[in-house]
Amino acid sequence: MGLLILMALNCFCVMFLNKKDQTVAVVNCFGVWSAFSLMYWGGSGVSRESLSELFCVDIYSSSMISLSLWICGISILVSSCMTNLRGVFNSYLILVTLLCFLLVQCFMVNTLAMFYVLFESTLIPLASIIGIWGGQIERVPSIQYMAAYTVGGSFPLLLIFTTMEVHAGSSFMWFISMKTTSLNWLFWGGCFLGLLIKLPAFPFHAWLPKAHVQAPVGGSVILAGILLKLGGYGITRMMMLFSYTLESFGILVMSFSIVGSVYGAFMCLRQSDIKKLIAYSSVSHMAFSIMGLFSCTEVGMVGAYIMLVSHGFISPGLFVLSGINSEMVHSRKIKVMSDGVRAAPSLGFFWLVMIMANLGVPPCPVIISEVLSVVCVIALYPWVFVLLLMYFILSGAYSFSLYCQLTRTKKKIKMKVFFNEVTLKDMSALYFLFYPLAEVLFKWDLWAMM
Amino acid sequence: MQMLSMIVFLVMSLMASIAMLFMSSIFWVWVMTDVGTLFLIPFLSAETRPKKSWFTGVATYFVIQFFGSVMILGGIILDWAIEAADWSSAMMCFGFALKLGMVPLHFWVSRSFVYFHYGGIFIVGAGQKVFVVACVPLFSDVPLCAYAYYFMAVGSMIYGPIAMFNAIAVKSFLAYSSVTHTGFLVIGSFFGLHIVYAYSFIYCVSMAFLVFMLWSGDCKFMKNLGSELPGYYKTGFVCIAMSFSGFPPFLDFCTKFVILQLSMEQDSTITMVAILTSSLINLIVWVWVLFIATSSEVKEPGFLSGTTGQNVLNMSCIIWNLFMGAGFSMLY
Repeated sequence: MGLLILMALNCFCVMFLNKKDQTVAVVNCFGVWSAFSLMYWGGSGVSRESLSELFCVDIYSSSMISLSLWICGISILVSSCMTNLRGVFNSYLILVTLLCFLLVQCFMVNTLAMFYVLFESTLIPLASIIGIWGGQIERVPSIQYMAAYTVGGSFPLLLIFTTMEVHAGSSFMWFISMKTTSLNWLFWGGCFLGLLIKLPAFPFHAWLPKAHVQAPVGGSVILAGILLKLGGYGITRMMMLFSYTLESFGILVMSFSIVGSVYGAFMCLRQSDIKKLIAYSSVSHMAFSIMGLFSCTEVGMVGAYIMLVSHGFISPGLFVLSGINSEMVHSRKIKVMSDGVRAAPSLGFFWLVMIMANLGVPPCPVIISEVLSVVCVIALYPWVFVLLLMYFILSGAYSFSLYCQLTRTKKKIKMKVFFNEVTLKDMSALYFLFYPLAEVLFKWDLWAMM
Repeated sequence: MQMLSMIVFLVMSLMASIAMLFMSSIFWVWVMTDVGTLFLIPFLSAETRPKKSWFTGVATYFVIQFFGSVMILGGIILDWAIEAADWSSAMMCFGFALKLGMVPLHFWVSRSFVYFHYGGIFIVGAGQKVFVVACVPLFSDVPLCAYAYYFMAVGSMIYGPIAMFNAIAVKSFLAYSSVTHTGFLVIGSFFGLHIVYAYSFIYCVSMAFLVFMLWSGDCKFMKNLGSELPGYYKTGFVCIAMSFSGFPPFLDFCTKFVILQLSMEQDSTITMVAILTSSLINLIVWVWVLFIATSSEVKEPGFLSGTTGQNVLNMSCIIWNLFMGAGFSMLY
C-alpha cells in the first residue's frame, strides 16, 4: 500500500511542474518507485511489509512489480526521444503511469476477482496508446484482435472466480488450496486459457505480432516487457491455488509450447519486418517459461521466472534499438535498416549485444533459464531434446541472419537516412536495460523456494 | 410551444408507465401500456424542423405497437372467455415480444429509430421498454411460452451486437443497441424484479448521456462520428464506449457481472454462454466505434473546453461510467 500511496503523491506533485520538466520528473519518479519496490524483496515466503486486507506480496509479485516500474520508466524515456510521437506527450505520460499503477496493483492483490479486473483493465491504457500513437490504419483491427483474444480467452477465468465467489464466498488466493483430484480438463482449460493467450502461448499467439507492429516504440516496450508477464504471474497464482494437480493437462500445454518454440524460431527466419521478428522471438522465449511453469517443479519455476524477468529487459531493448534504427530510415524493413547501421556504426555493436542476449549466449541469464527448462522437459520425455535442438539451431540461424542483414556492407549508391548520429540520450534507455540483466545473472536463484 | 407540448405528453406517458407498475391485473397493465404509447405519439411526432419522413417512423412504431396490443388484448379475452391458457399465453408472449422488439420480432426497431429524433430514441429505446419489461408476466404456467420468451431474449442479446456492426446510421446503431439491452433486461427479469430495476436505472442514465452527446453533435452516420461529435464531449463518449465494451472496472461490466453471477447461482448455462458471447461481440463493436469517434481530421477542442454546463455533463458522464460500477457492486 505504501508504494501505491507514494506513486499517487508523486503524480500529484508532478502535475504542478512545468510541462517541459514533467517528462524528466516522471522518469525519475519511476526510478524512485523501483527502488522503493525493492523493499518488498524479502526472500522466500510472503513479505511482511506487504500484508494487508487487500494486498499480499511474495518474491514472484515483487520481482514483477519492480520489473513493471522499471520498464514503464524505460518506455517514457525512449518515447521522449522519438520524433514520431504526435499529439500531446503529456497524455502518453498519463496513460503509462495509469498502466503502471494498474499493473502494480495487479501483482499485489490477494483475490482472484480483483486480479481479473485489473488484468483486463491493463488492456485499456495499452489499447489507447496503440490507438492514439499507432502507425497505421490497421491499428484498429490489431486492437480488436488483442481485445478479443485477451478478453474472450479470459471469460472462462471469469466464470471460475465467479463460481468461487458464489459457492465459497471469496476468491482469496493465498494460504488456501483445493483438496480435490476430480478436476477435469475443461476446468484447467478455463483456468489457464486467458493467461496462456496473454503470454502468448502457441497456438494463441496471432494477436501479438499485429499488436507490436501497430504499437509505437514505447507501447511495444511495455507490451513485451511486462504485459506478457501478466500471464506467467497469473499461471503461478492459479497453480498455487489449485495445488499442482494438473499433470496430464500440463504435459499437453508443454507439448504445445515445445512446438511453439520451434514454430516461433522458424517464423523469425522468414520475417522481413523487425518488429514482427522480435514478436515471434517473444513467442519462442515465452514457450520456455510455459514449459517451466507447467512442469510443476521448483527447477521449472526458477527457470520460468528467470526467463520472464530476463525477457522483460531483453525484448524491450530490441524494440528500443529497432525504434531508433527505424526512425533513421523511416522503415521497419531489416534490409533498409542496414543503412542506419552503416550511418551510425555504434548501433551495430548494440545490435550484436542485444541479439546475443536474446539468443541466450552466456553471460546472459536466458541461458540459465533455457537449461533449467530443458532439464524439466527432458525429465518427462528425453526424446523431446530433438525438438529443442531444432529450436536452438533455428534461433541461432535467425539471430545470425538478422545481424548479417543489419550490418551488411554491400555498397549502395545512395544511403537514405533521416539523421546519422546516435547520441547518449537516445541510448540511455538501452543502458538502463543492461544493468538489471546483470543483477538477474548474479541473483538467478532468487525464485527458489528454499 | 412545441417544446412545452412535448414535455406535457412525455410526462403523461411517464405517469401512465409508472401507474402500470402498480397494476395487479394484466388487463390494466395493457391499458396503461397503451395509454403510455398513445401519449408518446405526439411526443415522437414533434419536430422543430419538420422533415418529409417524420411520419414514417412514428407510423411504423404506432402500427407495430397497435398490433402488439391487439395480440395482448386478444390473449386476455381468450383466457377470460374460454380459459385457454396455452393460446392466451402464446398471444400475450407474441404481443409483448413484438412491443419490446425482441429477436425475431425486432424488424421495426431500426426502421422506426432512423426517423425518430434523439429524444424519441431515448424514450422508446430505453425509457418505455424498462417499464414494459418490469410488467411482463413470465408465463410460468405455460413452460413453452416461458422458454420462447427466454430464448427470444437470448437471441436479442447475441444478435443485437452483430447487427450493430452493420449499422451505417447512428440511429440504426442505437436501435440495435436497444435490442441488445432489452435482451439483458428480460433475462434479468427471470432472476427478480430488483435486478430489472437496478439494470434499468443504470441503462437509462447511460443511454441518456450517450443520446444527449449524439444529439448535441447532430450525428447522422457512423463513419462521420469523429468529425460530428463535439470535442468537449469526446472524453465522456470514450468512457461510455469503454463501459459498453465491457471493460472492467467500468459500469456495464459490473452490471453484466451481477447478471452472470445470478445465472451461475441458478445453474443457467445457456444464459452464461449468451452473456459472454454478447459481451465479446459488444467489445469488438465498441472498440470500432471508439476508434471512429476519436479519429478526426480537424484539431478539436479538448477536455473541459466547452461551457460550464457542457463540462459538468462531460465530467458527470466520466464519473458515472468510471466509478458507479464499484458503487453498484458494493451496494448490490
